[in-house]
Amino acid sequence: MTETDVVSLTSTARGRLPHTGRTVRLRDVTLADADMLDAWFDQREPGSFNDFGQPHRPTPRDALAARPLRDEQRGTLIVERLEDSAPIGTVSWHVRRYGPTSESQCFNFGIELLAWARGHGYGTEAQRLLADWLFLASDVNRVEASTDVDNLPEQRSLDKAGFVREGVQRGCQFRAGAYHDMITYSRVRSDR
Amino acid sequence: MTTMTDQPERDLLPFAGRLMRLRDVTLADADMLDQWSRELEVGSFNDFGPREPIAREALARGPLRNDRNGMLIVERIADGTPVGTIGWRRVTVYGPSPTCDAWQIGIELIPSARGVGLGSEAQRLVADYLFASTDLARVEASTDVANLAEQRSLEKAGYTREGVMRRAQFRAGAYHDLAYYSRLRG
Repeated sequence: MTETDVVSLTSTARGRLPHTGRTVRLRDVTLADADMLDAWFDQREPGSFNDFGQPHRPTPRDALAARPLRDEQRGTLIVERLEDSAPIGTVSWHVRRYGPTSESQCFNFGIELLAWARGHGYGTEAQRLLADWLFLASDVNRVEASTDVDNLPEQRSLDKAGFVREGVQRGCQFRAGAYHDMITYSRVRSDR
Repeated sequence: MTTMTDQPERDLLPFAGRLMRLRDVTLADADMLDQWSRELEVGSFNDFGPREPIAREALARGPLRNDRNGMLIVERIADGTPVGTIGWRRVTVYGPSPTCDAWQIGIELIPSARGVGLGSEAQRLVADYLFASTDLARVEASTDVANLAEQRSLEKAGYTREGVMRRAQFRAGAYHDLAYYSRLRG
C-alpha cells in the first residue's frame, strides 16, 4: 500500500458538481455560504440528535477562499432546493476504515436540514444523491450512515433512500449525558 | 476528561484467568513474535501481507501500551507457554467527544493453541482488563462472516452480536462482510 493508493481511493476530485436530482441538488460550499452556515449552527435545536454540546467552530473562511470543503479525508456539500435554489442544509462525510488495506476505507456521512425543510423528502433524495455521487467521484466500495435508534425519521429516510439496515452498535455514542445505541445503514456498489 | 485517555494501568498485569493469563510484551518476546508473523498462514483471516518486524526500540522503552493501542501476550497457565497475542486500538468513529471512543480488540493464537477455549477466555479477560484499567464503556470486535470459530469464541466470551457490515474489508483480492460484536461496561 502506498500513500498514492490511499489518496486515489477516497479522493472526490473527479466528482462533478452540482449533482442534481428531482427536488434538490448537491453543490460545493463557497465562501459566500460561510455566514449562513455559522447562523445555522447557532439556530440548531439544543438536545437534537446532532447536538454534542460542543462549542461552535466557525466555518473555515481561509480554507474556503482557496478551495471547496473537500479533501481525501472528509467533505461537506450544500443541499439546495431546486424550485427556489434555497440552501436548506448540508451533507458531510469522512473516511472510516475496516482494515489495514486502503480498499477497506469507506465513507461515513451525516445530514442536517433546516427544521422547516424536513418531512418533504428532501433529505431522502439528498442522501441518495450523495451516495450516488460518492460512488461516481471516488473508488470506495461502501457508503454508510449511522443514527440514534430513537431517530425514527432518519431511519425511514435512509430506508427510502435505498440504504440497508445492518445492525445496532450498543452504547457507542455519548450525548446529552447518556450513552446511546446507534443503527448503521449502508449502500455498497454491488447493491446497484 | 483526563481519565478517558489514560493508558491501561500496569499494576493489573499479569491478568490471569483459569486457562491463560495476559501479560505485557517484553523485548525478550521480539524474536518469537517475528517468527509468529512469518508463520502466519497465507490466506488466513488476519493475513494482509508481510508484516513489519516488532519495534524493538519501543519495546526497550516499555510495554506495548499507550492511550491509542496496546498488545499483550496470551500465556497458557498449564506450562507457562506463550500461545498468541491480543491487541486493541481506540476507535474514534462514534462521535466527536472522547466519551464516544471504544476499544476494538483482535486476537491471534498459534494453530496448536486453538480450539481449547484459550482464545475465548483471552477475549473475555481483555475486555475485563480494559474496563478495569480505562474509562471507556465499550469493547468491540469484528470478524469475517466466514470465520465461524471466532464468532463462536466471541459469543462464549460474553460478546453480543450486533450486525454485519457489508463489504467492509478488502483482503486477498475481494471484499468481505464483517460481523460485529461488543461488550459493554457493567
